[in-house]
Amino acid sequence: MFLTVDFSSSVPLYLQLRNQIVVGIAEGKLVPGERLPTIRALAEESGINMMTVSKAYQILRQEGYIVTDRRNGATVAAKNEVCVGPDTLRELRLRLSELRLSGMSKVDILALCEKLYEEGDGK
Amino acid sequence: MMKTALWLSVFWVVPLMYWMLANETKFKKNLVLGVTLPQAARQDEAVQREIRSFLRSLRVVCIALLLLIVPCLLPAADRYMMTLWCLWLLAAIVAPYAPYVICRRRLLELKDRRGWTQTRRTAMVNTAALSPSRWLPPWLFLPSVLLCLVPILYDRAMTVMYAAMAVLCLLFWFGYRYLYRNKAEMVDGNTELTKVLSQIRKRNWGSMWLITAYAMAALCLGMSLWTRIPWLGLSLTVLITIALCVAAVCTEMRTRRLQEKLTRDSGADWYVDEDNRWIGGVLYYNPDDSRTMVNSRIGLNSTVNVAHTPGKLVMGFTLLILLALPFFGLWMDRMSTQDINVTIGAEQLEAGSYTVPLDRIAEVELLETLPSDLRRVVGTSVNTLIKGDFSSNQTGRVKALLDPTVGPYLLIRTTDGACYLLGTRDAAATAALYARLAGE
Repeated sequence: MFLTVDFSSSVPLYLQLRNQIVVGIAEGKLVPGERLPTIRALAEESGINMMTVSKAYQILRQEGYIVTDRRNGATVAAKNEVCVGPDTLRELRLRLSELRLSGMSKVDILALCEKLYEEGDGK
Repeated sequence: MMKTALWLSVFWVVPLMYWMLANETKFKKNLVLGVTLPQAARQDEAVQREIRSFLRSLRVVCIALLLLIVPCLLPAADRYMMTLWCLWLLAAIVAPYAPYVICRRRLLELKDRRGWTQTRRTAMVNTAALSPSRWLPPWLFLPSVLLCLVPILYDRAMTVMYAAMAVLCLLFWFGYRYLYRNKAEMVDGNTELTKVLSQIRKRNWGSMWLITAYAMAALCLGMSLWTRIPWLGLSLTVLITIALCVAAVCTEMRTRRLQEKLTRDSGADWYVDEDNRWIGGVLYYNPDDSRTMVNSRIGLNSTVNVAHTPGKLVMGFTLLILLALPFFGLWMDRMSTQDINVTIGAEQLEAGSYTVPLDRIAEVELLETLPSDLRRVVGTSVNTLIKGDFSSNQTGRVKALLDPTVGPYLLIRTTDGACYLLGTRDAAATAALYARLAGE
């Protein structure tokens, strides 16, 4: 999987990493049990600070997307371990509102969601 | 003889610089003359024209540098030999980069005009191609450290030098481990290619440091033979030095050749472009990269990120050493021609920074020639000046201050076991000093 860190973006670097890993898992580019690069390796590779990478991994662990242990480092969590947090629901509500205000009908929104969902399944 | 040896020791810098820079015209990792170009650009007539123009200019500069040696060999240049030598060396390192920087700028302009430029402040990571953080174990370097210490068993006079070389071998492991950035060599989206390129660089980097450590150990053994079998010691030292230089060049060549071969088909669609991070194609400047040590774009070398203070300091220091070369030459010329004052006062003998109380002098000898096995421990040894701590079988460890071209020399031993080997630039004056000391 390719991770792109955009230094000119207003999105914090740790959030960019977190978001791309989440999308990677959803799209099947990262499968449950797959080992993620170590914090040191990812920092060395991207040139960003180890603390920043560590923060991204910490958030991913808290959200249940990855599990960490001393022997294996960070691995992608099994799907049932992921819990949808209130932030995600809030974000979803906001995006839905934006789509409604843009004039899209419920059918169109659901069709769009279905299309994006299937992309995530790799279909 | 000395002058010829001096020039022979550096003239090869020019062919080496020529090879290194001419090699930059061969596409590897999508780079040519430090500019990232897509696959389509390789056959572009304008690009090829720039490359040909660069090679022409490089040849002119290199031939001019080699021709410059001729006037430096004339007797008239003897007085400023070291200054000229240092100036020439500085020019040989810097001048060939002039056509490189000029042609690179022209290629960048061309790249802009053709719409090949990708100016984004991003970093790409291929998580599947990250190189494993496996390193050669430190014990592989340990035998070289021990080998450096072996000559101490039979040549105690040079213990400090052998110990210093042993420490240096130990430092080579740190150099290998910490002067390298363990970063994947990504040129495009091909994961296997990235993995192979990373392995090539890392393996060659490790073997080079290992070879250097063992060459240092062999050098120690060679130098320990200087007093016993001088010709063998000297031959071994020269041979090992040459072998090490050849090994370094060959490793770099092998790495570049493999990079060229493996990336021949790269750059057809998506490719990594970091041109905006390299000033003049030589200096890495990337404030977004928190690391100080970075890998060179091609070959196996490392360089520093000058966007950060440690990088600036390292680069500044390196430039300072380079720019100080002519001043070093001036200093050497001045030192080798200045007077050597040896005076006898009422109570002591003074020679440069050495002071010998007359009542402590146990023995004075007048040597017509210098000991054939006189070796430097710490100090200066040029054509017309020997100064510092030296050692020989005949004299043991001595503090020397003399002009080796003007004999005789005074060998003074003191009651506290110290030994001095002194001489002036005037044979009669030295003989007079001897007569006075022997009389007293």
